[in-house]
Amino acid sequence: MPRYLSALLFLAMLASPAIAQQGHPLVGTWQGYWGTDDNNRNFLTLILNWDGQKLSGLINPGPGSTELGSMNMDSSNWSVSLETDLTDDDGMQVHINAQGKLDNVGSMNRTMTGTWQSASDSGSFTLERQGGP
Amino acid sequence: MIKKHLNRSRLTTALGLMLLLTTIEPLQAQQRPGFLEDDRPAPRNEEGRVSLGPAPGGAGYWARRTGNLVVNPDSYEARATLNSPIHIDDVPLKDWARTLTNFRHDLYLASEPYTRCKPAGGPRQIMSPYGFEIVDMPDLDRVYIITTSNAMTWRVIFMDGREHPENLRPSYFGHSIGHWEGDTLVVDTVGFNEKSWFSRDGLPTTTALHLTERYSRPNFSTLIYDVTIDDPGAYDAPWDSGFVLGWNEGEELFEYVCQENNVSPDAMIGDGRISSIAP
Repeated sequence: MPRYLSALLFLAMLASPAIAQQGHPLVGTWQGYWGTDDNNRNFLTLILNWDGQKLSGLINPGPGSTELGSMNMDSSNWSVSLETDLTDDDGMQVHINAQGKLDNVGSMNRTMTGTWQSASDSGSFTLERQGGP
Repeated sequence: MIKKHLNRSRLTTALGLMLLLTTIEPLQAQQRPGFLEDDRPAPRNEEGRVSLGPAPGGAGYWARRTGNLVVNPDSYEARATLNSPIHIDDVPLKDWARTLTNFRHDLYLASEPYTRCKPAGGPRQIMSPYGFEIVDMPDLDRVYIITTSNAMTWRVIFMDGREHPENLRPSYFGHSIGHWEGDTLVVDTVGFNEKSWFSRDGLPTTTALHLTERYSRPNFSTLIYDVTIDDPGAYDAPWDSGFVLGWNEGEELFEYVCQENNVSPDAMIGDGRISSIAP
C-alpha cells in the first residue's frame, strides 16, 4: 500500500471512534508486544472492528500496516484465535497462528494474552486494550 | 321491512365495532404493570395534542414504575425484573452478547458506566432514578428530555422532519428525530457510541444500534414507554420491550451532581469484593 494511503488510513482511524468500550469485547485499539522470548519483543498495535458477523482489523496502522487475516472469539470461555501476517521490528514478515484468552473482560483496559506459532518459531503475546472510562 | 331491519342491524354492528376499537387501546394500557388508575385524561396543548409534560400551571416529572426491559432470573436484582414484558431467553442475543450480559450480572453490574456518571441514552436515560421531564417546544420543532440524575443530562429530539445525517459522529445519546402519530411521540435514534449501557439490564449494544421509541400517555398519571431495539451487531433480530412510568405530580426536577460523593462503584460490588475488579 502506498505510504500516503497508509498515513491517510491511520489518520482516519484516529478520527473515527475506535474507543468502543461497552460493545463487543474485542472492538477497539489494542497495544502490546509479541516475540519469541523476553529479549525479542516486537511492539504491536491492533485495531479491531466488528460488523455483526465478522471481526476485522488493522495491524500497526501507518506505513507498513497490514490487514488482519482472520480472528475469532469463543465467548463461552473468552478464548481468541487469529491467523495473520505480522512484520517484526527487523522488517521480516511472519505468518502466524495465535491462540489466547481475554482477561478482565469487565474492564476498559482488558487484556489478551496467548501464544503464537509460525513455520519456524513460536512465542507469546500480550495486548492491552487502550482507552479510558 | 326486512331491508330496514338489516340496515339497523348493520348499523348496530358498526357502532359496536367502533366502540370495541376505541376501547381496545386503553384496555391494553391498563394491563401494563405499573399502570396508574386516574380518571383524569392527559392534559392537552393549545393545538389539542396530548402534552407529555405538566398541565398548564402545574408541575411534575416522570419516574419509573417498572424499569427493566427483560425478565432475568440470573440478574442480581431478579425480582425487580419480573414485570418486564419479555424474558431474556426470548431476546435474540448473539452468543457473545449473552455471555457478556451474564458476566456483567455476575459482577452485580459493577462495571456499569452510568454509575460512574457517564450519560446513557435510550431506555437507560428514562429509567434513571429521580425522574425526567419531556419538554415539547413546537415553536423550535424540538422536544427535550431532561434528566435529574446521572450528570443532569438532556437529550434533544428534532421534530422538523429532518433525516439523520450521513456521517454521524457516534455519541452517548445518538441522533434523534421524532414525529407525532396521533397522541404518541415516535422517536427514531441512531448514532450511538459504545461507551454506555442502554438499559439497566446489562445488555450490550454496538454502534449499529437503532432505537424506535414510543411515548404515550393514556391518562394523566401514566406514561407508556415502548421501544424496538434493532442492533445487528449484538442481536440476531429486532425485538420489542418497554415499561411504565408514573407522574410525580407537583414535584420539580432538582439539582443532582453525580460526580459529588459518588460511592456507587464501591457500593455495588455486593459481596465485598475489591473494587479493582472493575474500572
